[in-house]
Amino acid sequence: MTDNLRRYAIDAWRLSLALIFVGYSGSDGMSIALSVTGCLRKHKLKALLASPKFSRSATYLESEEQILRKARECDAAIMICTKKAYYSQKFQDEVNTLVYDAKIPVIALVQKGSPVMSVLKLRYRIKFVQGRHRRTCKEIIRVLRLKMRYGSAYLVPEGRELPVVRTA
Amino acid sequence: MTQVRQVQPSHRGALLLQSIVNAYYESSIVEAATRVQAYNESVENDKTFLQIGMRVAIPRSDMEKTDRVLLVDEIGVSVATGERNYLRDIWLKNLEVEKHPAHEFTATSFRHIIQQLTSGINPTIMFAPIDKYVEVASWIHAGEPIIRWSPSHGANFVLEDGRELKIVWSNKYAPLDCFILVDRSATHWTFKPDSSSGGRLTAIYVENEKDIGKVDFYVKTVVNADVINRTGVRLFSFG
Repeated sequence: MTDNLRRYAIDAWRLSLALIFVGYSGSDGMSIALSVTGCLRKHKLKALLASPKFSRSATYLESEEQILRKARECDAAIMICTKKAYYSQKFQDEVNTLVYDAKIPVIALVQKGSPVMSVLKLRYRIKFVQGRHRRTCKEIIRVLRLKMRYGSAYLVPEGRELPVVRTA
Repeated sequence: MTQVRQVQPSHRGALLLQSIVNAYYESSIVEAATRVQAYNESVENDKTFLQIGMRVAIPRSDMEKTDRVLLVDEIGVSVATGERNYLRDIWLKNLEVEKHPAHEFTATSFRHIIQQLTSGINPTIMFAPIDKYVEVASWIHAGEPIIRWSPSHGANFVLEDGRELKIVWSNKYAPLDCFILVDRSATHWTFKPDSSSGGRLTAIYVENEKDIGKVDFYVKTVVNADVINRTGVRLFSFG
């Protein structure tokens, strides 16, 4: 197997194991988050969601610190921006941790009419009309795959071909 | 030398390239962690260089889609992440990791250990494993005066003598198992300047040889890193 093929195989394997943090606030946010989780699962991505309705989240629901501990293990994050989330200190802490400390790709899923934290205005935003968040599934997956695909650039000796990443 | 055929971008296409370059310079830590210098062939022609970069194939028509600025900028971040991984590997290969027992990972001991390790050197940056993030955050919540945070500079670790270290946490794309204290004068980072901008990063469009309907983002930095003072970089871990 050539170096490039090996790198492609590793990249494909890494994407198949990707873990995505889904952040939200409030009951409306939770129902959107659960729907996003279903979208991710349908496309073979694992989701991390701190919700009593998400069976696998029991172990890290104890405290915000536990949630942040788990969030740092993620490959990327989707933050659901509703009005409630904008005023939630926990949501703000999660966004700041993911953007400034964990430095993983963060995508904002914004309900039209909701205010958006400044830091998320600088990230990729996907907008949706209240009640129609399911329509964003395809775009979420496309953007996530693009964002995560880049990961760390390739290190190749000078003079060798740079590997091509295919995105379309 | 690999031959690529450059494609001249339109005004909109140039904006996408600029977003990659901007994201690279915002994310790159080499200025903070090393002494950066441009390659001078007449003085140092014995160095071996490495390319850190990638080609990303896109449909030719996408060169006009400026709504993708917030997607393609990740390519610049990716090169900066590659630089971090390269530096980490160089340090791990050349230097020993000082191991401390897990019970010494407390705010007081940690600060004391760092104070000792930094004596005689002038570190300005500390790379830290993200799995220690929650513990360090809990020290801040407990009121320990060891982290100073500002929106413009992020988190800085405050030493006993008042000096500050910028903290750079690891992540999934730039993993790390130990702490690394860095005096930037200890490592020399030599880059081959881009032929048109003179900067560290080359970001251009090139022809995709296999599909005429596509072009490639061709983004790279060509570098060599040398640890010239082994005492200026200290690696340590707990547990």
